[in-house]
Amino acid sequence: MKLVLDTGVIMLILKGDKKIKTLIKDISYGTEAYTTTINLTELYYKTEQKLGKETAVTWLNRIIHLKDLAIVPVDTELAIKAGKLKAKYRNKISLADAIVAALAEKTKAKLATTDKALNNIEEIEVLTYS
Amino acid sequence: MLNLNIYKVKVHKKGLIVLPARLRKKYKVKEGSEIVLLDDNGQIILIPRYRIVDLYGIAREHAETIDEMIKEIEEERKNEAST
Repeated sequence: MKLVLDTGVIMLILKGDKKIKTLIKDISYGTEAYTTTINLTELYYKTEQKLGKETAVTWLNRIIHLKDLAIVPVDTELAIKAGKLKAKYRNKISLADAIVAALAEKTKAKLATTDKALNNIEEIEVLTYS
Repeated sequence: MLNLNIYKVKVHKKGLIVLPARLRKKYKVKEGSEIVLLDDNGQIILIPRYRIVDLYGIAREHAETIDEMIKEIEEERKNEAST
């Protein structure tokens, strides 16, 4: 199984939220986990806004060097896939939603998210944690 | 002011250094663990490579703030989507 982790889910991991215990277990037992560079952007700016630069840098350094999380940059293929989703769902999804969903579609992964807007996308299977 | 604990270690043959036991314990570094070294303009930064499960709950003291962060990101995405 493969999982794409959205920003909110990575935050729930740091928080130690009980809702995602099973997801963590699945990853420890070999489920492949992915996220995108856009999710790192969200994670960084929101952490710096709320908790300062030092915390943001520390968290990001730990996340980007994780052994079992693949961080996927937005290349042209992903960009176009995301563009197609954004065109189809227009004002129902944001650019970040479109990009993370495009990665789930491309890798045939389930998308783990806290963002209910992603339930609108019929091309992918969404696991919502809210 | 920076909140730093300073440890002095000697460099042995072939550049080997010993991480103090306190740091090994604090950062869960064992024999066979991987560490990333960053060459950062005059300083060397050591970052232990963890697994996702090791990050679970490392920011528990910020639980309320993290809930706010998640909510705000969702709202910002929603606003951006509808404009």
